[in-house]
Amino acid sequence: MAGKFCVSLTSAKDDPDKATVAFVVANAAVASDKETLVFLSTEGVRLSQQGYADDIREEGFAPLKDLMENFVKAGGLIYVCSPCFKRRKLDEGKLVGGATIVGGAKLVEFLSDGAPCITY
Amino acid sequence: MERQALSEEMERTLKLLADLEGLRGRDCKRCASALCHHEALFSLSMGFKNAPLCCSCLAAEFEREPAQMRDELWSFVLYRPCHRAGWAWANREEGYDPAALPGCLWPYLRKASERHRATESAEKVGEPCESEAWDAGDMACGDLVLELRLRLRAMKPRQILRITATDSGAREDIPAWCRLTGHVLLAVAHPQYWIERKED
Repeated sequence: MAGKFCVSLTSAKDDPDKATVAFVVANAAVASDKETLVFLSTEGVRLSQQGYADDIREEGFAPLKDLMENFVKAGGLIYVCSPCFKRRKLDEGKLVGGATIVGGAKLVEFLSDGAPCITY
Repeated sequence: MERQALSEEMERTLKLLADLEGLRGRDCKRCASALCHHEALFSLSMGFKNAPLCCSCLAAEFEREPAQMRDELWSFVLYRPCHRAGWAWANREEGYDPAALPGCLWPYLRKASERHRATESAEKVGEPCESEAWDAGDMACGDLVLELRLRLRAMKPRQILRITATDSGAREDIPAWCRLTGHVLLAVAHPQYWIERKED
């Protein structure tokens, strides 16, 4: 069952339902022994900030903060789109654990051997 | 305390420069080829002060490829102030620009059997490295690597581009882009990156 899996997430509090389900799916992938990446871009990059997801809790799902922490603990990667991060003037010193600021080439490299990618 | 640390660093630098001066004109203990000042510095870095080795023999000693050994030692030098001072001294002594990669070790390492005395001119061992520099500022993501691609395409194979890219994403992106495209990332000291253009 080895292989890679990418979840591209473009929402945060503007669509907490999507943000939550993205991490639920990512957790399913990492639990299935996939090398799993959540790529945060556009509004999604706000989730890279400590404390931001603390009050996101969608009915029927675990709190987003827990989902994100469990994802990283299980070995999941979080890439944060650099230009999206910069234009929102977010704080590099407040990145959540497991998050790395990257540009497009890093995402392309991850996907370059044909990894599937699902977008929320 | 800061003054004391500065004084100790200065002392280390002076000692290193004196050791480098002491190795002037020495040959590799193993293959007897003439050592350049940069190789003398590498030998000091690796504790071979009394029996200095050329980069190729150092590589053999540590079971590495010569280019890999060179790049690892260069990274080692970049992160240590006194060694950086030694590197700058070596560049000056050999007539290289302080910011350039010296032609004695780049763009390729000579095999021991092909090496000549240091007194022979550099052109006898190959064309000197034509390094170029580009300050990309805070350019990022696709813009950065697209411009990087264009700049490298305009250069000749094995020439080296020093790029300054301050964007945080560059730390991950430039190495990834080099792996994807086949250009060789020689060294990184963010925000600076040294990339050797690949062959066509």
